This record gives sequence, C-alpha cells and structure tokens, in this order.
Amino acid sequence: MRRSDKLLPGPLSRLRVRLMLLMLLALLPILGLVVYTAAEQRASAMEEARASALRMVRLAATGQKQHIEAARQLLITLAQLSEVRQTNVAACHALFNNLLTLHRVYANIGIIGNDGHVIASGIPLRRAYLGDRGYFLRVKETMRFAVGDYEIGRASAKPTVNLAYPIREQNGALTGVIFAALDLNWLNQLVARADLPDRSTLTAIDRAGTVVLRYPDPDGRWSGQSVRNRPGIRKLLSSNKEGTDNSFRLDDTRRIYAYTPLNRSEGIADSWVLVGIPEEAALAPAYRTLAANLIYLSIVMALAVGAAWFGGDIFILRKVRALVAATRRVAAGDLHARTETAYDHGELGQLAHAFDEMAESLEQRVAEREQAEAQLKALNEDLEQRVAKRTNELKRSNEDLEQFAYVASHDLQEPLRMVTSYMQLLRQRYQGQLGKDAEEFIGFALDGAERMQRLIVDLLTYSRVGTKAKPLAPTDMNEVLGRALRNLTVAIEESGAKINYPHLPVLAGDGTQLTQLFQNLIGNAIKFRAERPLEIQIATQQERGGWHFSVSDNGIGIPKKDFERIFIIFQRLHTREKYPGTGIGLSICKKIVERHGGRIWVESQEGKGTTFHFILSGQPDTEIG
Amino acid sequence: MREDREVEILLVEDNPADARLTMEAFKSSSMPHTLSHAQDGVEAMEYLRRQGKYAQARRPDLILLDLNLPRKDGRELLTEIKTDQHLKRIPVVVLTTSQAQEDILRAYSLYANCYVCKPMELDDFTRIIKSIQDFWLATVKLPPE
Repeated sequence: MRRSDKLLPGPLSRLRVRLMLLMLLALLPILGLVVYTAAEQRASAMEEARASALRMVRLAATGQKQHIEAARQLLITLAQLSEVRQTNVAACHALFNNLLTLHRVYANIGIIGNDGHVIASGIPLRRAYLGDRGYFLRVKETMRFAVGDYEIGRASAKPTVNLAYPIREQNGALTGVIFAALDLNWLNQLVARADLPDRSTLTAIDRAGTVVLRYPDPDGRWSGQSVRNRPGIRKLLSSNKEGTDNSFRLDDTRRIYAYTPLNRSEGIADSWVLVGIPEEAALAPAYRTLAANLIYLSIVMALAVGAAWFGGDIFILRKVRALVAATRRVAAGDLHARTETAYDHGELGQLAHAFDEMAESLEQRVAEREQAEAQLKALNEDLEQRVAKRTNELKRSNEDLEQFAYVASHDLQEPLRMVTSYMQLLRQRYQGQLGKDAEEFIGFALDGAERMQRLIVDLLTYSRVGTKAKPLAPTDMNEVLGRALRNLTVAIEESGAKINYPHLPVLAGDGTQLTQLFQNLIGNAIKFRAERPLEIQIATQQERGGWHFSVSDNGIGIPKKDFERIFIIFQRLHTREKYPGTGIGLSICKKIVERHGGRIWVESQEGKGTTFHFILSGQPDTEIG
Repeated sequence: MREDREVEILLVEDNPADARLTMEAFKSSSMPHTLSHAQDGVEAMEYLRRQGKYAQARRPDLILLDLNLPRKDGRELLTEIKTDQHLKRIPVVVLTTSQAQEDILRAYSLYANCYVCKPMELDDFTRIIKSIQDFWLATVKLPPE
C-alpha cells in the first residue's frame, strides 16, 4: 500500500471536514448570542413574574383595605339605625338578610349582645357565644372599629375576617357589637380574573402561619393547614412589608413568590397574602424562545455545513482532487496528465496552472530524453548488429582460414615433396653432367621449395592452435620448458646460449602449445642474438591476473615502432638472407597465449636486448574457432 | 626370407610421380623383387582377388598403401583387406604424407601393420624405403602362403 493512497479525497476528506468545522466555528458566536439572549430572557421573565406577583398581592391588599373600609362605613351606618339600637330582632334579621343578598362579599352580618351571645344575624347562629372573640373584646375595650382574626367561618364554612363596631345608647353606653364577616373568596375571583400564568397560586395566611385561603384549592386540603414550618415562612411571619422571594416552598412546585401583609393591627402585620407563579410557567416563553432559536440555529448550521460540503466540493475539493489525480498520474509516469480545471485567480487555480505547466515541461523533457534514448538505443542496436555481423563474419572467415590453412598445407605438401624429391633426384643422378648454371638453378628451386615447405608447416601449426587444441589441464611448466629446451638442443649448443630459469609453477594449460610458445620465444632469442655471448633469462611471478612469465635476452632488440607489428602473421623485420623465417612464430605465440586467457607483449631496447612478457590466467579463454 | 623366388610388393598409389619415386627408391635395393602398382583402391582389390586383367597376378608379400586415393579410399581398402580371411595376413605398410593424429590412430585401428610418413627430403625417403625393405622383407618372418 502506497502512502499517497491515504490522501485519497473521499467524502470525508480532511479538507472538507476542516471546511465544515470552520463554518461551525463561525456560527459559534451566534450560538453564544442565543444562549446569552436566553439567559437574559430568563432573567427578565423572572423579573416580570416577580413584578406581576407583586402587583397581584398589592391588588389583593388594596382590595382588602377597600373592603374593610366599606365594611366600616356599613357597620357605622348600621349602628345608627333604630332597629339595631333597639335590638329589634325580627327587623334586624330581615335587614341583614337583605344586605347579605345585596353584598355577596359578606358571609354574615349580626349583633352580639353585651353578654357575648349573638342576638340577631343574617344567617342564624342560634344564640351562639362569640364573647371570647378578639374583635368583640377589642370593641368592648376600645369602643372603636376592630378587625378580627382571619378564620374559617363557623356557620358559613368560608374563609372570613370579622369586622366589628360598637352599638351605643344615647348616653354612650355599649349595648352590643355589630359585626360583619368579610368573605375572602373575593380574592379567588380576583386571582381568577387576573392574567396570571397557569397554575399560579394565591395564599392567605394568618399570624400563626395557618392557611386561611388558598387559590386554587380543588380538594380543600389547604384551609386550616399550618404552613408555619415550610421553608421561608417563619421569616415571612416576622416581616412587616411587601417583597418577593423564590426560596419559599409551600408545595412541590418551585414558584416565584410575592407577599404583602394583608392586614395590620396596631401597625403589626397579622395576616399575609402570597401570590406564587410557577417558575416553569414564568420561564416557559423564554425556554420556548430558546428552543426556537436553537432550532433556527441548527437549521442555519445544517445549511452552513451543507454549503461547506457542496461549496467545498465545487470550489475546492474538485480542484484538489483533480490536482491529486493528476499528480498521481504523473507520479505513475503518465506525463500527459493535466488537472483539467479552469484556472481562476484563486490560489488553487494558480496551483493547478503551475502544476500543468510543470507537467508540460516535464513531459517535454521526458519526451526529449526518450527520443534521445531511443536514438541511442537504435544506434546501439545497429552497432550491436553490425558488431555481431562482423564478429560472425570474422569468426567464419577465421574458421574458413584455419580450415583452409589446414587443408591447403596438407595438400600442398604432396606436390612440394615431388618438386623437392625430383630436384634432388636430378641432382643425384646427373651430378657434374648438367653444368654449373643448371646446378645453381636446381639449388634455387630447392631453396624455394624448402621455404615453401617451412611456410606450410608454420601455417599448419598456426591454424592448429585453434582447430587442434586440447582442453586445458594442469600442466607442469618445468616439464614444458624442459621439452622446449630439448627441441632446441642443437640451436642452443650451436649458439652457446646460457639460459637461466627458476622453478616454474603448475597451471591450467595445453602442454603441447605451451612448449611451442617457449620454443618459439627462446628460438627467437637465439636467432636474433647479438655478437656478445647470448644470455637468456626466464622469470615468473604470480600476479592478480594469473602467472606472469618473461623471457629476456641480450640480443639485437626491436625498434619501439614494431612492438605491435611483430605479432602480426607474416610480418618480418629483416631480410630473409640475414634472418630466415616465415613471420608466423610470434603470431602463433600470441594465439597460444590468448587461447590461455592471457596476453603477450614486448619490451625492448635496440642493441641491448628484448623481453617478451606473457600472462597465463590459468583460465581457458573462449575457444577460437 | 624367401630365397626360392622374388619378393612380390604391391604399391597402391594414385600419384604417378610419387609411385615412380617409390619405384626409384626400390631400384637402388639389391634384393630381387617385383613391384606392382595399383592406382586406386578398386584396382588394388582386383589385383588382390585376381580379377580381370590381374587373373595371373601373384599374391603380394607386402602392401605399400597411400591413404588418399580416388574411387576407393585407402582406409576403405585397408578395412576390406583386414576383414578378408585370405588377405588379412598380408602386412600393410601405410605410406603417406599425412601426419594427422587421427589418420595414424585410424590406420592402426584398422590393423595396419605400420604407419610411415613420407619425408620431404629425397635422401630421407630413400633411407625409409630401405629400412622398410630391411625390416619387412629381410628381418621379419612373413606368414606362409
């Protein structure tokens, strides 16, 4: 798997994800704003709820004051009436009944005698004893209007507060107390009519913390219940003014409470009204707004992400993909690859343009190089073909030459022998009869035939180096040299040559040919000796390429310009009269050395001597022929 | 040694000059002999089997055989002689210019009695012919007829 495959621009390419993240990041402040607004709205909703609750309790307190004031006026008026002053029970009863029908805000109206027993009442109380009631005692004591405790009416079973006023005689003496029980249910109606949030409550409690009135109270369990120990209520009971608080807990619901004393007796609050608005209901609009805002924001975000997705695809990813695809194609070697996108003025457009230019120039250069390579290759192939052809030709002509040399030399021997033999027969038979000229001519003919014969023999030997070769086998060079020296015994003795040689190694070779090699080189040294006594030095040492042999003499030497020429067949440096020879010997030596995977060369100084060097690798060269 | 009659020699040689040279070399010999000449293998076999014009021919005591012959080659002729029950005992001296190893090997493989190379020099040749005479005709005991 190649590393670049990981950069494949799939549907969730990093670029696309980053674009979308960028979009979301840009939308974050809006989210913050939404949350901030929601918090603000919540705070203002709380404030509003507090304000409306407070408004409500004030309304209740004010209404209660007006009701009490109205009741005082009524009681003052009633106390002046003769029916009341004279305690005309029947008349009073009728009057009170009539009043109760007119003023539904009163639960009852009645007169209590000095002894504390009810004398007359709108709703019959059957001489009930009310002498122990606070309002009665206070009126008796102060002779003034008094407000009683908030309580559940004994006869009416309604939440009431009793208001009382003294009935006096002409002389001012107290004859009784007239009272009116103010039905607090008007508060319920007040709340019901008010535009308060759902499940808002109104609670009236007395100074003992007992619930006098509760709205709503569907199963009636609230009336008479003490809430003194509920959270915040003790604090409330000791207070004397209005306020709001959301730490109160009258039931299980969290509410924002506003409270105010409903009534004060002698400047001290003895009853309170509380309006509780459920936090949930109060905050509902704020939460609704927040939810709506969040939904809107989500939609906007989705749209933004979508825009980033598709916009990124259209404006960026397509170009990037095209670039990546083109890059990969170029990397894979397809230099025709182009991004194929429109070049706009954006960075990506410029990049695509630059890339295409690069690919163009790359393609051009590669094409140029390929062309050059193709040309070179064609040239090489042509050259190789020509070399192979020439090699083949050369090999064939070499083979032909060797075959020809072998056959020809063989077949040439026969007629030559005839020439020689019959010339000699002629000379033998007719010695002294032919004359001096004829004998000289016979001598020339014989000499020519002899030279011809030697040429043939040498040519045969030369051709046999390739065609009649034996495989290379371990050969003791001491034996080889010994054989060569034995073959040259006569020449060595005649020349008086002194030959020095060390102990020689054993190496892979063709013994016959190596004998020929030494024989030719030593024979040459003898043939081309100088006037001074001939000394021949044979040396050897092992080198990296094989065994290095040298045959040195102190003969006439060879001019430097002829160092190469002497190894070419039939090349001679001297006249035949001076040094007889066919000019094949050294070319045979060269052929033998090359067949042994070595090389031969000469070093010489004219007049001083010659050294022939040759290296035998010990490895067979490719067979010649 | 056959003192009762002349020694019979068959020379198989295609080159008349070569044949004449051999004859000249034999001439210098003192030993009484008859030298017959066949120019190729076919003629040689006719002679040996006394066919045609050779009906009266005598069985040779020695055959001098050149290897390179027209019509029937010297090697074929050697094979035929050495596989023939009546002829195989006649000594065959291969007399040729070839010094090739395979020719020498092959000749002996075909039961040639000896292999002699013709030398260049006339003197050498005369000496070789003389030694052949001395050895094959005067020294060795030839098989009885």
